[in-house]
Amino acid sequence: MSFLIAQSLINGVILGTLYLMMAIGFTLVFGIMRIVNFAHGEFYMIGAFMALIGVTWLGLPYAATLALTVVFAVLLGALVERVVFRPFRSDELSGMIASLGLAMILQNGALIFFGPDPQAFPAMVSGVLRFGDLIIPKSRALTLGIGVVVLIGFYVLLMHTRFGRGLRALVQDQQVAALYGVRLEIMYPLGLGLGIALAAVAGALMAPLFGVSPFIGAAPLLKAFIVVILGGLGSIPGAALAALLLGLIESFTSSFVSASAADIVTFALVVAVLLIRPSGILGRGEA
Amino acid sequence: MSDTSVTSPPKRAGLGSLGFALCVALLALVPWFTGSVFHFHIAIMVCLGAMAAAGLATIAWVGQLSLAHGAFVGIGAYTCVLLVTRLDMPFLVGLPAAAVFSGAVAYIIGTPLLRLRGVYFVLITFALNELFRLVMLEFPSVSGGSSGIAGIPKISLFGWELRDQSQVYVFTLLMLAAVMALLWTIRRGPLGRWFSAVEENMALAESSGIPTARTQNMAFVIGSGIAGFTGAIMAHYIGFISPVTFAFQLSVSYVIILVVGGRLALAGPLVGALFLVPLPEFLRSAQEYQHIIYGVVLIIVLRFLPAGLTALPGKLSQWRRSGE
Amino acid sequence: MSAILKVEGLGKRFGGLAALSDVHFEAEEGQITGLIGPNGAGKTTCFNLITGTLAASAGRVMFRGENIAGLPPHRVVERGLARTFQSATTFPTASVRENIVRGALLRHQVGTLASIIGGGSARDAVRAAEETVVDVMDALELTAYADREAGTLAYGHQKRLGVAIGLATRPALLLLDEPAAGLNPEEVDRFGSMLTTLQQRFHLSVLIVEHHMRLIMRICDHIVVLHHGEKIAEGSPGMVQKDPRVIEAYLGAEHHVE
Repeated sequence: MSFLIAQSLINGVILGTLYLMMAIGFTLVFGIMRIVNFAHGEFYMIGAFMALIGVTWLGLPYAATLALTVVFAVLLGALVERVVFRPFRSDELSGMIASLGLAMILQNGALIFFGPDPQAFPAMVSGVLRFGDLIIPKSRALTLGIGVVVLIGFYVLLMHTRFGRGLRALVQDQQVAALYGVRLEIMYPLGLGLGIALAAVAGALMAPLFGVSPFIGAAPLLKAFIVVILGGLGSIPGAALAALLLGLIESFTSSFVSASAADIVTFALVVAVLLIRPSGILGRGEA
Repeated sequence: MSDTSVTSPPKRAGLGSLGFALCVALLALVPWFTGSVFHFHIAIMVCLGAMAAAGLATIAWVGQLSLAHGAFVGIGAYTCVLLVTRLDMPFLVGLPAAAVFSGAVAYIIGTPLLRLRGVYFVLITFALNELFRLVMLEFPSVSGGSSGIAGIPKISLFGWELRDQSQVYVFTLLMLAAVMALLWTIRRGPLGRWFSAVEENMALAESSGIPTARTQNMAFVIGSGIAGFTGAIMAHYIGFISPVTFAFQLSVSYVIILVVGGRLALAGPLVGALFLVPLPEFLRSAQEYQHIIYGVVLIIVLRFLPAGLTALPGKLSQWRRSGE
Repeated sequence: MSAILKVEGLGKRFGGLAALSDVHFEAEEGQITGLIGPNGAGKTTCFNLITGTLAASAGRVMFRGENIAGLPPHRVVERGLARTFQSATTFPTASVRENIVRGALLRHQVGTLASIIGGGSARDAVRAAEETVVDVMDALELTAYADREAGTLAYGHQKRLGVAIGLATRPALLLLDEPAAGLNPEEVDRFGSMLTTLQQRFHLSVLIVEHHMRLIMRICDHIVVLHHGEKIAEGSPGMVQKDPRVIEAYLGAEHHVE
């Protein structure tokens, strides 16, 4: 029993890391641009395909592939900001509807390009790590390790650089940020690029574990939604707490009850939180 | 220009809407000219799309965008199908029951839900649509589970079964006309004035004596009732439903029809459905691009015609005038 | 003479801060009562408490003998107490006429079913509301703009339209929140005369919040002065002007501002 609990704990933390990467990117984009990005999951999917192309088609090392994925995603984000989202900066609802259109374009683009079938991703590492009775496949350990490194890197970027301060100022108040010399014309595309890059890296990291297909974006998007609603739109500490919580709830309910029960429980929780505290568990009470 | 201002209808707009009505009537007759069963099918789907989107429009008229509309279509579809197949009720009992039951569900959840506005309302309706799908999948004895309910009997009126596509089309067209007539009446009357007031300026509406919460809830109940009504006809026409039929994708397709047609105009849902539902048929050679085209059309309309295609004639004459 | 509005011990706290504490005053029927005070004195809070936009932490608001504190705003309007907003608040994409109809419908309600499926009673309601509108537009000199989109009107006209929407609900007491703010001196004078005419024509009592002292002193019968959320003085314009506490409050406040 204690073994099952420890195993669920590890799985929960891995899921939590994935959800956190998705949710932070999502909530960052909302915080900066006030856009609820329904296309966020498609960037996860694109990241996974980027990794597939890098590793299997181009034969690049995994680390180089990840780096390329980040660069490509930031550029893609800047492009999407310019072409799709820029006109809707002051209009939350239209921006959100536009993101629905963008999601359709990206998903069906991938469908035409790569076909509908799931594609296998070669294992990056094999074997398992043993800690007493506890078994962790090395592939999972690798994903978790890189994920944590990426999140720490993001944290440092956000908290300890000039760019990060600019982003945070923008999340607080656009006009004030502009007054203090934050350059909106650069920060918007880069902010969106960064949010999207987090999703893409998550996709590239999860690809070896879950495989790749044009349809893999839906589930992580859903999780990002849930995390962000539970944590409060635009709140990063809230997202961190909620992601970990969600990962653990899922991993434990699916070990001890059933997977569909986990889904229903989390969605009921989402509805309840939206009704009772629309600003999220850690929110500041404005909705 | 809104058609609510009965007090001051500019003459040009009157002529314009007459022309529009003529165009729609001619388009409605197309399947009889070609005689093709397939064209009848497309025409029925246009009617069903327009009808559901009209329900969504009613909710949009008080300033809310629902992503749970597909679920309400589903509630209506299941209500009618279960009444007809399990309790042997006639379709003509199941159809109004579907509308009433969907409306009742909307009434119950509407009061707490509608306190949320803007993207928060969108998010909670999105979550509810997912919840509907998940819960329905959990109860296969009711919903048929992931394999759904197949072999649903055809629409029958007083024992007369509508076997032909053309018969179904006439029925659906009449039902659509009835729904549009209802919405036209609402918009001209006091309730429509309240809707627009709430949509435009909630605080001012409230302090002008308009019960804003009740007004929003009425729009939600009417719109969701229309969704359920559509669902019942849809289920008995297509003959198959499952919880997945009424998932997120269906809700999104109604949002696209509405936004492309025009969120606030009465004719918006009609124009949106007329434009988008047959579109893939004209692009049959490029069918795989269908969803990409939908996405592109949606973004372009949002960007350049935020009031939808119904605003196009006005925009054109505006451009022509400024060009002179 | 009797009081149409009695504010009794009204108070509001935001978190730990008292925005308004234990305010008492009355507005006489058929009179114009002014509510003044330096910035941050709690005038708008007081307004929002009376009209139900905010919930009071303490006290009662007696309107024609009934406590209306805690009622939602639309219920307050229904009882005959209408308000306008500080900024030019209209339904911007509707015509001037339509703006006023939306207020006038309050007095011409129909049943739920009739409002959905239409019919004679719904048509009559709209027609009756439109008759009210003609009267109100005339009184506020908006008739020439009847078919203009509200958002395209000049600022002064939009503010007048705000008053017209309130007036269309046929109130017994009209609350005006800084109606002269943003108007030029000529418009202010015009508004003052218009208001006194309106008051007689529609048998109104008026409660007005205003910074424009000359207007207040000219039109008000009675003035209540708030400072730091408390009432510091009340009386006729002449009395209030001479009150040392009022002078001190204004001078002190200006000292802080400048």
